[in-house]
Amino acid sequence: MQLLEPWVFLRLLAGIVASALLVRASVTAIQVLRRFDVMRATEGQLLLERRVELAGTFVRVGAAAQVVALLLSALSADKLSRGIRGAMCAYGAFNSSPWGFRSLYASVLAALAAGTLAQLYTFDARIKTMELVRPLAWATLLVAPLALVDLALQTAFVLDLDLSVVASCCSVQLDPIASARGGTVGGPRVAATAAAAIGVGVCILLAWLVARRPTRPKVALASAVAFASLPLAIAAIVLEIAPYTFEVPQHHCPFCLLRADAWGLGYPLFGALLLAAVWSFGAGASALLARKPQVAEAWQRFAASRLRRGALAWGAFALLCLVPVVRYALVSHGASLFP
Amino acid sequence: MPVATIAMREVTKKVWDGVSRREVVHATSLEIRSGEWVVLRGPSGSGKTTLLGLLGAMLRPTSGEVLFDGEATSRLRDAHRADMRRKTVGFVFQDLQLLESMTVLDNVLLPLVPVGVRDPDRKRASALLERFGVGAQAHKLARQLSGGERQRVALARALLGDPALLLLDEPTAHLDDERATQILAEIGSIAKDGRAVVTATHDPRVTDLEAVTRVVEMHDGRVVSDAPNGVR
Repeated sequence: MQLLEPWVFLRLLAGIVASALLVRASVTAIQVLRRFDVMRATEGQLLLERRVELAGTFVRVGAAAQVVALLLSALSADKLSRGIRGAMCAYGAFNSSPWGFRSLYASVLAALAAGTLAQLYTFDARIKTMELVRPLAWATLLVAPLALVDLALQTAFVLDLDLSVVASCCSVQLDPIASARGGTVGGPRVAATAAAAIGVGVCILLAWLVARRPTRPKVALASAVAFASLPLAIAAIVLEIAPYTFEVPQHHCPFCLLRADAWGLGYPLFGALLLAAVWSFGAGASALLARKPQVAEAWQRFAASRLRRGALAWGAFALLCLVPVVRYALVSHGASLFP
Repeated sequence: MPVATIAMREVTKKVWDGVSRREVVHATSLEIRSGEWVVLRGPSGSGKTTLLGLLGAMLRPTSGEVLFDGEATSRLRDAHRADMRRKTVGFVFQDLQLLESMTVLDNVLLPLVPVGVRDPDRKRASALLERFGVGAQAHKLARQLSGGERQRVALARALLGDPALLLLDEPTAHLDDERATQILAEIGSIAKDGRAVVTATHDPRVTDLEAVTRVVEMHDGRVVSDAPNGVR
């Protein structure tokens, strides 16, 4: 019974907490859209305003739970892989059920969306007036279903998981695909790494420069660059960082980076990437909401702080990427990993 | 202490009394400038205390605006309104609201507890207690004080944040003539500091003072007269 596995149980619990909080916040969001009017200080309006503040807390805690749920998805799949024959890492666990990767993609999407929404609520809390209550209500109604879909897919995955099945190992499935496409040696690998390096570098530089004097178009641009750099960074992890970590040019599994023999590098690596994305997207999304002059001052301070945090997270990600590459260069006395 | 103009524009306050919504302040407009001592006068239930609550941003108007130096306080969210209130408004409640089991000094420092009490705050609190002649009582419990002393401690607490606006609800209630005169002299000196002072009272001893600059008469939630003191 997989539900009784501690990590699986915690994963589902985190999903339930996140969904419950976001759904509760959605109920308030519906009330806001129906009857919020800051100009009328009736008892009902005052009560609704207090609920709005509470809903903001629910969203921020729910978003944190959603991010923890993503972490637990990876962790529980990694732990489950030890009980599945043929599975070497979380890839085998996810791949052993048709719901596995669907649930993972949903978790990533929900964590990114909830994290960005939490940034918007943090921005809202810094504004003296309640200008953003309605747009945030709409945003909450968009994000809450993602948490529910994630929980449903995760539950389907866990219930469908058969520990007696013989799963495919990542080295059997992923590595031949990468090799067949020429990703291992040159071409896509070099291009992806170069593009990711440039993308991450531009993200850091742009975020740092824009944070000095943020304007809405510039912040939106920094956010868009971060959005474009995210898949490039993941491609570089798969094609460049994973092989260096395992000192095997053909091994491209990002899930193996979560394992102890890779020093659990995947957790800080993907964690830094997630934080960089959430802070960058948060700054960009807040730029869309900061149209009114009365929120401009608070927005500039908020956007600057998120961009600086984003730049630091991108920097941490870049440094973590360098760890296996530098380590390999040291142990191999400068020999190239790729023939 | 920033220079302050407090303005009410067509402020109405309705409250739910369990049966129906009752209008306790009706379409009231007022403007109070720093250095003024304004007395709100009227019978019980005329809306004086509610008007003080609205001026001090403790209550939100059902309609209309309360503006501090042009900034509408009624649209501020609770946390920011509380922050503005802490920095701008001092309030002496009718029942003083001292915490009986705390020392006098701790009572004065109470408004700063949410943001943290530092050494300069303690020095300022002690200086205020000295100013109002209760410095020697600083380490006594509030319940050990006399009525006049309690009133002064409440005044010291209201002034701790160096507010631009000081609101007092019936400051001379239950005080004999001698103590009332002392307290009113203190309030007069506070108004001369350049603060705006608003006092709700139906005590004629207050409006007899020369230091009072304006008297606003209220009846049934409406301002029925607003004139310089002595011109009535």
